[in-house]
Amino acid sequence: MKKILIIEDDIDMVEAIKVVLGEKYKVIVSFDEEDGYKKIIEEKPDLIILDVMFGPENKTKGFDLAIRIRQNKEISYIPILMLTAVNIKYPGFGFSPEKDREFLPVDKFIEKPFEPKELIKSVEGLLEERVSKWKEWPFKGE
Amino acid sequence: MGIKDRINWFIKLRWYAILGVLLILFVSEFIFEITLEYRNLFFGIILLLIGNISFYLYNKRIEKNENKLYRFAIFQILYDLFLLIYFIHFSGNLENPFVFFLIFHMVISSILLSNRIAFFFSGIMSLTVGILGLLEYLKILPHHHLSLYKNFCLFNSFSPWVSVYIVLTLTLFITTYMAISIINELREKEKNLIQLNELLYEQDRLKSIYVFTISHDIQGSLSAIQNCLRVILDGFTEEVKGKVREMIERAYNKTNSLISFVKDLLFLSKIKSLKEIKKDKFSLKEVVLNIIDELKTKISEKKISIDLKIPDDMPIFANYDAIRELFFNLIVNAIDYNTWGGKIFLEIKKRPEFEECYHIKIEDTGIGIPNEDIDKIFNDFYRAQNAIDIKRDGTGLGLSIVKEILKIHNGDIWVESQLSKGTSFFLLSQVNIIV
Repeated sequence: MKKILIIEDDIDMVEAIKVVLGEKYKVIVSFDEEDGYKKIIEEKPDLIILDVMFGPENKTKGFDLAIRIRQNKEISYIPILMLTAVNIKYPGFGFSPEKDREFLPVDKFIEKPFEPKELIKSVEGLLEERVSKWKEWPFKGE
Repeated sequence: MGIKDRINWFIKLRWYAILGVLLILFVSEFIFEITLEYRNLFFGIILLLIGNISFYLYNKRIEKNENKLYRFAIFQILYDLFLLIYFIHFSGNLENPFVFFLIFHMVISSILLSNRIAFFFSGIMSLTVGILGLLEYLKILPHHHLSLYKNFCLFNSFSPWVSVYIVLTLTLFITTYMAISIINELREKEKNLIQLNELLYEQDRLKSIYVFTISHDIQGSLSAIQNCLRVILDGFTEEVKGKVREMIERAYNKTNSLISFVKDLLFLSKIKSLKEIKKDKFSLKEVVLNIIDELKTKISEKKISIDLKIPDDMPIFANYDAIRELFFNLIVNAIDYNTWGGKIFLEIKKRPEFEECYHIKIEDTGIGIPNEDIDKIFNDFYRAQNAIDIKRDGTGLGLSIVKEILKIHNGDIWVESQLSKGTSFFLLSQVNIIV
């Protein structure tokens, strides 16, 4: 059974994700950045579901954690599915995994509240990818 | 008013001065029958004319460098000063009542220049007039007597011209002092107003950041509630039926409309909190076509026909997401508040008089906006009663968002509407939006 690590500070959101993915995958949970990073190294999950903003100050810690993951060559291959309550299309935010791969090294975004079917499809898609996109990260010349 | 504007004003004033001198000469000759040294005075006018044409042309191409502009202003004042002395000398010196027009020159230099330099000019001017008077009194320079005073010459003895000279000097210095005091006070007030305005803008921005943070928290929690309900409704837990299902559906729908509201609030506060916005080049036509494609189910459900008039080559330099949101909101409104089988007409064209300006018109055949509501529809949270009647769950933020997006792109929007006949929104985007 493939392992998915959810790093998200909203316990109810975590529960909803677990209900959707729990039957097919082994779901591990972490509620903060440091613990999440530790669990990635210990558990080597097949996929990480990461919240953009979490913690008491609502900082974009998810971005920082994604960069830390990509910097560590032992875990940098793991695909990241990023969850965000901030609409991806906000002006001033305007980030996308295709355009901003340098500072946002994640594989896909899903907006909160998520569509269960879309979540399942995205997870399946990312788990099927055999070759990691992140071997060469940081990408030179971008 | 910056120094460049003040120089423009100064040059404009000089055209009037030229006309004024010509008028004075005319009046002196034909009304008061005073004979003047016309040859020399006309030469002075020609010098003034050539000078002002050169200043006008130079001012057009001078770069906006404070120091250069300042030096340019000083040069102009010196040039005027020289010509004034020239005119004074050839028109009777202190005998000429127009000598008091020197005061205008002092007022102008007080406005244009720093306090010290303005006083310095007053000094130079008084000194020059004094020296000129003395030279004419000592007959070193010829005195051009004004025929106005038939049997009296101011420069025949010492005390008459010295008395006029002392009064003139005092008037010049007092005027300079007063003009400087008033100007300083005005400049101080202007500075305070600018600071206050910046402070207000910053406070408003901070408020928007605060609203953004709160809205984001609320949206996070609402998303969690909605997802918990959604997994039940989608059958990921035990099956729910009947009244239980209905009640969960109600709660789900309610969170749905709350989320749309918070999303609008997030968008609005985000755009209000931005100091500047990221811009890219993209096609306006593509944006509109994508939105229409996204909304095709909604459009066909209401049997609405859409007529588009957008040229293919419409590149725009703006924030893609913001412009998309702007058109999305306006097109959704035109659908939602339209009648069944209604029409939407969307036209984008370049304004013939300004190449960089786009004129956008979005017209529908919908319910229209009551006259008394027209001025309020761009206010946050405001919805006209007939709009609430037709669609209960609107947020009242859509048009505020549109207005804010235009504001950050230096554009404007206005509306014309007839109740039960339809509404037309007109948008004008200005230079900065386009490359």
